[in-house]
Amino acid sequence: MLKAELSQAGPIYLDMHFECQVGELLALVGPSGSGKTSALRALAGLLPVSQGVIELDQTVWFDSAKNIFVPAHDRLVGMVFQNYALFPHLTALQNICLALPDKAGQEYACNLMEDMQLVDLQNRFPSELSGGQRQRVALARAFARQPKLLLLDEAFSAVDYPTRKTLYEELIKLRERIAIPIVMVTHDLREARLLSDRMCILDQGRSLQQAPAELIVSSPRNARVAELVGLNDIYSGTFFQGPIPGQKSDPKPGRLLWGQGVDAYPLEINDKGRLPNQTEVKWVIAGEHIELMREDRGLANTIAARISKIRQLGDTATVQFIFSIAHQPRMQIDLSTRLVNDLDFQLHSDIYVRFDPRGIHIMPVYTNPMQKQAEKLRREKSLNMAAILLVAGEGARLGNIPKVLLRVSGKTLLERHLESMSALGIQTCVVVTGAYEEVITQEIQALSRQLPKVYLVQNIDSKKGQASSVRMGLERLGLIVPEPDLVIMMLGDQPLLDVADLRQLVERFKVRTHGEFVFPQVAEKRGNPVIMSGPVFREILQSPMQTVRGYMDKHPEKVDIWQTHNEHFIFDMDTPEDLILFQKKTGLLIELP
Amino acid sequence: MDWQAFRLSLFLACLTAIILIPMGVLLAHYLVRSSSWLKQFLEAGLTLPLVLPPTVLGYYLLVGFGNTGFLGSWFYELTGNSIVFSFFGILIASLIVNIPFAFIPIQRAFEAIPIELRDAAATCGLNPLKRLWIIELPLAWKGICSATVMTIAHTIGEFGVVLMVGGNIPGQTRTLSIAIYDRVQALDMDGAGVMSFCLLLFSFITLLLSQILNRKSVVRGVAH
Repeated sequence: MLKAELSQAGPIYLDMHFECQVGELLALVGPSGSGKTSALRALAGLLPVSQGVIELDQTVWFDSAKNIFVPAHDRLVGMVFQNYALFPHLTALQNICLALPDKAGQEYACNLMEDMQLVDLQNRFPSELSGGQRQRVALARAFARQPKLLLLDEAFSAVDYPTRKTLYEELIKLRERIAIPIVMVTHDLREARLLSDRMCILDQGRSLQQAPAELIVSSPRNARVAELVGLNDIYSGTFFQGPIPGQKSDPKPGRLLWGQGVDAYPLEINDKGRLPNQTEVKWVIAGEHIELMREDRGLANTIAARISKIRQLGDTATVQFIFSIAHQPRMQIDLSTRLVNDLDFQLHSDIYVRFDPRGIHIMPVYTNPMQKQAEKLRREKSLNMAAILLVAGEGARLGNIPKVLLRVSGKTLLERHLESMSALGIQTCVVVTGAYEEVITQEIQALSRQLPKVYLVQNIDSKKGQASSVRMGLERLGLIVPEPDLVIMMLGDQPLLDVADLRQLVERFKVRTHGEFVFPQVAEKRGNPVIMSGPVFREILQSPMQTVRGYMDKHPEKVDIWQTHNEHFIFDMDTPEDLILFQKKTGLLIELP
Repeated sequence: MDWQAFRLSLFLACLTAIILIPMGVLLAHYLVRSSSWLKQFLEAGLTLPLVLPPTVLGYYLLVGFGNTGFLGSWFYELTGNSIVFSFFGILIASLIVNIPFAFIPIQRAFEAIPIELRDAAATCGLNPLKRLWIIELPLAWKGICSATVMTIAHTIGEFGVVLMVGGNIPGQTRTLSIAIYDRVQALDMDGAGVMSFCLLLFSFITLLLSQILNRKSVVRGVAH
């Protein structure tokens, strides 16, 4: 059995361990730069590694602790290279004979050539052979060494598909004759699944998971593995221990909230007892655990969906559908064409999709505890927050009233907004007023409870548009709080917005975004408020011609658009219809000032 | 035609090549695989004679190997002979002058061998010496040949350093190129012409030969 543990900090970062039984074919799979070829070269003794152990059966080839390093030519390794690596000045036969151990006679080489159908080609130079023939010679040369370990470095990637298939067969035939561990490096997942007994997934020099191919595909250890093995539909959610309230479940129930925040949809799953409560997860489900129906049979985990795409390719058809739940996730599965016809699936058909709880595989988002810790710290970090509240709008279609002074259940919108800010821990708020400066000032002075410290700015010429109000607000805030961590900029006429909505947005900014901006978007509609980071705030402040909107359009890479279905972020009061709709929605009485 | 000078030139050239080429092979082979910081210094040092004026080189050799110089006096005490103005002197001079011609083509040839081939040779069980002998030397053969030809041709044509270090002693330091110079000084233009033509012909034939050898190796399929 081969046992390898390799680790080093540089020049190529490695932190991997894997095993390969006698007669087993282990595929090292990963994207380029994952360290797979380095691992193979380390096994062969071609790349010195700073720490680790390489053992084959009872022989130690490398042990950094005991200062053992067997050089490549003394390890009994057969290696096949991507570009054949045949010696161009030697014939096919000479190439093979070169690798023969001292004790082996030339008959061994002849037998090998016969097996590989190379007899007629034995006196040809590599330049006179086709790609497939060269690779057969390379394979024969690797076996001529009578190796204890066979290494294949992308051995089949340089030849065309039909040749590759023949080479696969040759390899399978040779494996029957010689029982040794075989380690293969490939980036081709299909090849790995076809030839290997087990796969080891590598990423950035680390080994992530080692298991039979089917197992890795059906239960990837984490989201990165799922991505690397080519699973398309990977969803996010939060795992909870215990059943969905009011639902009966299997002995070990758990639930998964599919999606984020208010939009999340509850799914029933099996709790394997590996994850703590409320873990943020990614999840996948293998095709065989998904059932498509035309009618809802009242089973758990049944969700309505609509077919958005059908592509038929001979016997199989790929069906894509959109779930009719708040965040409208998509999924794609391959079905037999016959089933698609039997169920009469058409484009835009309404169907029901059922997930077998046993088939839902959840995995923690981060494998790295450091990252987990970092996220926790980010979440708990207290930020110096400031706000700008834009209330200059005059509500022309409502009969020219200060909209922010609309009373909902006895409280003005202004008071509600300031209360929300206070609850979030915002200390400073610049309120940009327009023509109604005076009444708004009176209203603020009349507020008795502890609220953020309010600074008023009046935009006398509020007809100039919102941009001028924003600019005034930014400039005033820049004088009061020169270095905020984040600035929330909100409109005064979003009556549904409450502290929970704002908290979600701030949370999103703290934890999720790597950008500098966050704003919510509901379907195609751009919502409010906007959060910007301190550095961006200062940057905009320093260029007087720059608007916030303009900055966001110019730097899309800095903007994190939060897709949500929470209409609080887009609902505003512009027309009398909005007022009626609001009363209908909330059942609250609204009074004009 | 000064046959003595011709023989001397040829002898000097062959001796230089015989000494320099194996050294060039070992050095280039080592340097190609080395990643030591010394590599840069060594490579720069080895290429230096290529850009240095022969007179500068000649000056330092005279100072170093002269009877008052450190090496020269030591050699004189040991053997009773001086290095400068002797065959031994011009041999040392042409060894030093020819280092880049012997070294650079061989180094390029070793560098051109794909790393996969070295790796393959190692995994075929060949130890470093066998790898050099069976794989790397045959693959670098072209470079070694051209290094040999260049060294010989350049030694035969070398004038400045040889004149400064060796002078013009018939049978000892008077090489063909110095004999030509000598004839021209004596206004024997016919004698100089014959020798010049011989040198021209010789140089042309050597270069042609080296080209033919290179071409042949390509046809045989050394190209990867």
